[in-house]
Amino acid sequence: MDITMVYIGTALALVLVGLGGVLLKRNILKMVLALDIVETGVNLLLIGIGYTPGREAPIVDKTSFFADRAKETVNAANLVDPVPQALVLTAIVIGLGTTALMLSYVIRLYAQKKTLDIREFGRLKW
Amino acid sequence: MKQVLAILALLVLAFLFAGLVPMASKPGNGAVGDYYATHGIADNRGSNLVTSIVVNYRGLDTLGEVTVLFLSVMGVGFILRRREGTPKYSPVPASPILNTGANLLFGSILLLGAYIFVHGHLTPGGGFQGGSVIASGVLLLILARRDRELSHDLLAWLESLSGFGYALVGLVGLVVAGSFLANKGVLPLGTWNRLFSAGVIPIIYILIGLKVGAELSTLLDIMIREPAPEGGGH
Amino acid sequence: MVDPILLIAVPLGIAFLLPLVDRLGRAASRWVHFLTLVFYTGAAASWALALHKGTVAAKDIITASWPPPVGINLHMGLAEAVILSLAGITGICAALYLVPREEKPSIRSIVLQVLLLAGTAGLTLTRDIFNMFVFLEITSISTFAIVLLGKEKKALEAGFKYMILGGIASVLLLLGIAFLYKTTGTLNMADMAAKLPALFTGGAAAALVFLFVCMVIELKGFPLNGPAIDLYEGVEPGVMALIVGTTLNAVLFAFWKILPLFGGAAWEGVIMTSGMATFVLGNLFATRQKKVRRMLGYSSSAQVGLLVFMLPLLRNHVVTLAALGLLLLNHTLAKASLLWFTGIHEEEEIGGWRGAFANNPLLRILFGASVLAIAGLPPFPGFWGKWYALAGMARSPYAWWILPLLLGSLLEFVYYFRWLKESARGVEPARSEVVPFSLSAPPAIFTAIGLVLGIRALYGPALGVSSQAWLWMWAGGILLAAAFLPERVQAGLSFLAVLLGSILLYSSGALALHTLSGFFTSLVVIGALVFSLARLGIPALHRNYHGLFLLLAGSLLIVLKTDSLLGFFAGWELMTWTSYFLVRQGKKGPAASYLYILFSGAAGFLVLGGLMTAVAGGAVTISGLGALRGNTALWAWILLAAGLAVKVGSWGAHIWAPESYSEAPDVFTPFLSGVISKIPVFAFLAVAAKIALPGVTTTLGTLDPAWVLGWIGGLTAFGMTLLAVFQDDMKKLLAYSSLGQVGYIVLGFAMMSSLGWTAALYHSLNHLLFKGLLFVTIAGVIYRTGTRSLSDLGGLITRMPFSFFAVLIGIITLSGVPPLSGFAGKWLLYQAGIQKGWYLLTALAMFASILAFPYLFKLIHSIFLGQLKREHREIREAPKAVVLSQWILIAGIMLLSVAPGTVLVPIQEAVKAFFGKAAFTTATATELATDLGYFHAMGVMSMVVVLAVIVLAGILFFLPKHTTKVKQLDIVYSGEVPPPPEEIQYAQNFFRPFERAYSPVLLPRVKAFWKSFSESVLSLAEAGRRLYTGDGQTYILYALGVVLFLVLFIFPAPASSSSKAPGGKTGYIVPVPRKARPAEVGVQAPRPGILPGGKAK
Repeated sequence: MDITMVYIGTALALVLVGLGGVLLKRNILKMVLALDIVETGVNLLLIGIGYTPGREAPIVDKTSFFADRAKETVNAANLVDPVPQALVLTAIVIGLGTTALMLSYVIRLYAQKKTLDIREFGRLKW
Repeated sequence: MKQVLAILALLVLAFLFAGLVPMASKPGNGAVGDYYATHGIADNRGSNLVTSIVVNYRGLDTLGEVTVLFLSVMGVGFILRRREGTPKYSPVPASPILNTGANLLFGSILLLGAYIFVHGHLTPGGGFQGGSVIASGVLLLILARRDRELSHDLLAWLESLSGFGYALVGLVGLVVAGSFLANKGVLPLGTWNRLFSAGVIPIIYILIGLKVGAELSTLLDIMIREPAPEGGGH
Repeated sequence: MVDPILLIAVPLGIAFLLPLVDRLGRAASRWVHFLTLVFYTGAAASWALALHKGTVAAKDIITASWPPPVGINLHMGLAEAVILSLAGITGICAALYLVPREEKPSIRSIVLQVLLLAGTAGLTLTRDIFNMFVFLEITSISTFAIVLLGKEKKALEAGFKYMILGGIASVLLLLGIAFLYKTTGTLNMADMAAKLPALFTGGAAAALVFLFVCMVIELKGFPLNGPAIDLYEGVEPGVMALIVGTTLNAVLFAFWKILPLFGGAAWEGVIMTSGMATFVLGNLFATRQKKVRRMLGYSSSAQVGLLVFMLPLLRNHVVTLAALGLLLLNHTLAKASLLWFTGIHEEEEIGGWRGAFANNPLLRILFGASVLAIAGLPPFPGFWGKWYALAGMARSPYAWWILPLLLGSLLEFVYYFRWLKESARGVEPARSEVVPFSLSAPPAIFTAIGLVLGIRALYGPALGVSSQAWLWMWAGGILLAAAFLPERVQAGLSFLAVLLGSILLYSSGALALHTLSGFFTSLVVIGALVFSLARLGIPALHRNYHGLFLLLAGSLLIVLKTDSLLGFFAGWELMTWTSYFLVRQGKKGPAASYLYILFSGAAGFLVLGGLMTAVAGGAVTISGLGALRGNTALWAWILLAAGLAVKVGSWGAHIWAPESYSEAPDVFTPFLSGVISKIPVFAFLAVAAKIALPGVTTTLGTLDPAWVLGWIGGLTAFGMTLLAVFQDDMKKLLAYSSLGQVGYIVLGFAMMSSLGWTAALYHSLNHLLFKGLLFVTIAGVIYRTGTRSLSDLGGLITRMPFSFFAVLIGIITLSGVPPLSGFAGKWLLYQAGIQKGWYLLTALAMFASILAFPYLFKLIHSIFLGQLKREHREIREAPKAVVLSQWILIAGIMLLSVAPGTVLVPIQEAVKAFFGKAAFTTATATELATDLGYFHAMGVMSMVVVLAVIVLAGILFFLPKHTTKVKQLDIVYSGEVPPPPEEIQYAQNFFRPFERAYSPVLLPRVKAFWKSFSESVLSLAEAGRRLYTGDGQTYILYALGVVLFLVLFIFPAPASSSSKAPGGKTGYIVPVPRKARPAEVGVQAPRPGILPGGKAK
């Protein structure tokens, strides 16, 4: 059992938990939060995907990382994949943006209907 | 019925996910990731490779990311358009403990935030992280001084100018080095692991830090206000 | 050229600055907004033009000075440039439109609009998958926010559900990207597509499923389109128009860019099935929709589904980029216009559209044009796009997909023309719609763009649209634009145009009778001239009449002249919609014309199917149809014949015709019956016959399809004649009569012999003359009396003697007795039947002929004989122009009666070209002889005249002297006050016993069949649309369901490699060798060498 598998498994479990919340909770505020959990799970998954046990964070702050100091090349085998970490940064901010928008929708919907039950918002259909 | 189906679907999905775990946890970096790790220092001289990727290699993503944040501020403001005359802050005054704590901490939080984004190319953290720290300080301030309003003028100027500055730096890259958001050839890259290194990366990250700080503060400010009572709409 | 990166950078920078600019005042921000959009549109359009002309090459743009896959790269090609130009124009128009729509204008809505455009640019240009995600989110988030512009009661709910599902979509996309990165180690699309097949593992398979479902959600695919359709219903339509014109196209293009990842036949099948299901089902569900904007939502989903369906075809070079581009362009232009219209006329229910834009002729025309455009009719770009796409498909192994495609297109007719029907009904003068410029300009601009592009396509040299036809159509277009002129002036101008056009046609030799096209062109010219003349006496009901009429005549000239299949079909569809609008102008026209366009549409799609079968066989031109062989020939013939049979109103599909003929404006019905019904006949002869001739041996078992057609013609002749007998509405009576007469023509054609064809052609001309005469005269009677009901008339012989004489001549000719020209036609037809050996059919035709007598008698008797009604005592003869046109037609009939050979000899020439055998053994102007018989027209006429003179003289001679004429009411009363005289009317319940005798045959079975047919389609739609329960969580469950369905059933073994893709599971997949990369859209290849060869696996 690899430690990465634990990370990945946890991340995917979070996605499932979140999806469960989105599908089963009637309260739209909880649905938004559940979607946030899903997003967190995906972010965690991204980090897990880039992770290799035993490697260090991709910050070259020691000369020992260099493969060739003169050419400034680094021995990549010592570092975890920096790409997913960069992607996660972007994904988090985007998640924040959508969550903020959803929350303001919730505020407006509650003001309009005085309820948070998703079943009350099904006037448009067929 | 729907619930049962949902649970069933989730179970099947769990099964599918379980099958994906071994593949996703294979060790090793992606080809592009390896390139960044190997050549990142030579290309940009920023110690923090993630920062190099975020600000330089995938700079267009980050410009988009900043836009998303700006967009959500605009969007939330648009969605929660207020009616004139509605109360903004809760009239209940904050406790003296919160007040005093805020007074004590706000300055250092601001400083920490600034430190984080100024050193984004050297240490973990950067514009987004620093900006968030600053916004958390502002949140503290909002909670402590419920009777006062934030300076919207200052926030708006910060927001707009830092965002525009980011786009401008990108365009300078286009004019000077022939490609949008270019780093090499715009400013000297300096020496590795020094504060003044990595070319335009710290500049961009400072702009991002300011922008994120201002934007998150605005966002909090908008969302804490009471929404318009429904009926008249807006 | 402007660096394409500026399309992203400039709007972004401006958007950041806009809140500051707004401090200078809202006007300043609006100007900055406008200038930004102008820059955006200008930059994109200049790229589009230059790339189209080929003066620049497509450009790859790298960012941050790093070539891909290290840096993010962008690509500017023709497709990108067109999408962005369209987005820019939409942005400008939407901005204009939204200014008055926003109750409390805020700078934020302007910022959101600018960012939407910037996001569209990024989404379209980027070639990096994660970057695509970022820009997708930018467009999504701006969409989520801006949908709350305007009245937001419903928008809030719709928007929330849309957001939650959108959130699921972005999670799926991110999951997909994560697994794809793990598999390939890159984020560049081209690089990823190149590496993926070799590394195809379970993770990648799952990733593709996630990616695909995300795209289905974003592109409003079935069944995940519920929230998107809600959005159309709930959101300010101006905003929806903006979204349709910007992000929707960009997302579609994004899907195209990642399409190379979806390798393998299985994926191809899944994508195409999904797109087609969305198209057909979306259109099906829309037919049940009473809410206009929701209907547009279903339609949008369907149209995008069609485009999605075509993406794999584009990739396999089955469909060209141009075809797809035209469809996309058309959808954007038409749908945005229609959405704008739903904002101008803010009625939610379709019933509230009665009399919409009644007092705004410009908007009315634009609205009609938008519906035509969205229905894919010429000259709008969608027509050409559909044709090119279908033609590509027809020649490929994907040909069977044409079937559902045409079905879905027909369903579009059902609901869009129902909308037009509703909007035409009644006029509400109470509602005065003063539409501000900023609301009416956007649809005007979009329609104009569509028209310009479409007309340019119609000018294509390969289409063979003659300059003569153009002359007529331009005259029509100008007259349509000048519809504000008084009716009299328009009628005069229109007549002059027809006269001039006819002279030009004559002098150019286009009227030579001895060619098929010349013969039928002559019919058009005669009809147009005579009926335009008659119309000078009877004003048209609607101011657009004259322009549309000239357009219609022009379209007929296209059909008759062109040799190109596409040109033929373009003319055909032009004819369909111009005549539709003319029919619609009658008092009860809307309902009748709805039926007309549905059947015409169906006929059009049958013809299109036939033409596509021909295209599949390699034909491009009409003259090339002869090369078709075997089953291709058979099916092309059957489909064409079926379409043409529907269009002439053959039994079984006739129910549209009586309604249309009788409800059309009285001055238009003669043209409809006399000329337009002959165009399908021409098509039979000129198009269908070319196919069947080489393949007479192709039979369906022992069944000869021509024989079946002959029976259809014969039955039509019989059945329609019978039905005509019992009509009280005189136009309906003549309408049924027309259908019957065309039945004879079809019968003649089906004989496939020189004599049969000669009979058919001769009868076509004859029918034009006598039925035109009858309809024109009837129009005069209706114009004077104001009624169409036979039982309201009587005794008009004294008031309208010329009309009486005209009807008398008309019915004698129709009945086919000597000495008038009708006889020659029937005589030829029977001989042809006997020659062919179709005795039973000939007997049926003869019997049907006899059946005509009762209704002809009823017609003349009820109108002109019997007692004159009191209210008709002061009636005058029909207008002079009408009488003059009657005389012209009578003169024509007389000429044919005395010397049928003047026409039959050239006809014989025309037919000989097909059969190589002359119909007659001898033929001069007045004498005809066939193998079976001999006919001397002059002799017969002389005999009859001599006999008539003797009889008349006898009557005069034996007439008692001093007879007193007693008038109807001239009765002597013996000093009493006379009671009001009773008026006796025989037409009431005329032939009632006869009707009883025939009652078993007369049961309205056909009507009942079509009724139950349409009801079952509608109930299917009703059941289907219940899928969209309105519950946000159900929609998410659907999304999850689609993911699981794909994983479990389509890709059951995720570990299998793509080369062993489980294509066998799905029978509908057509395996086709796949080209590595689309050539049209240059995906930048990864630069080798930048990666130091370090494989991290």
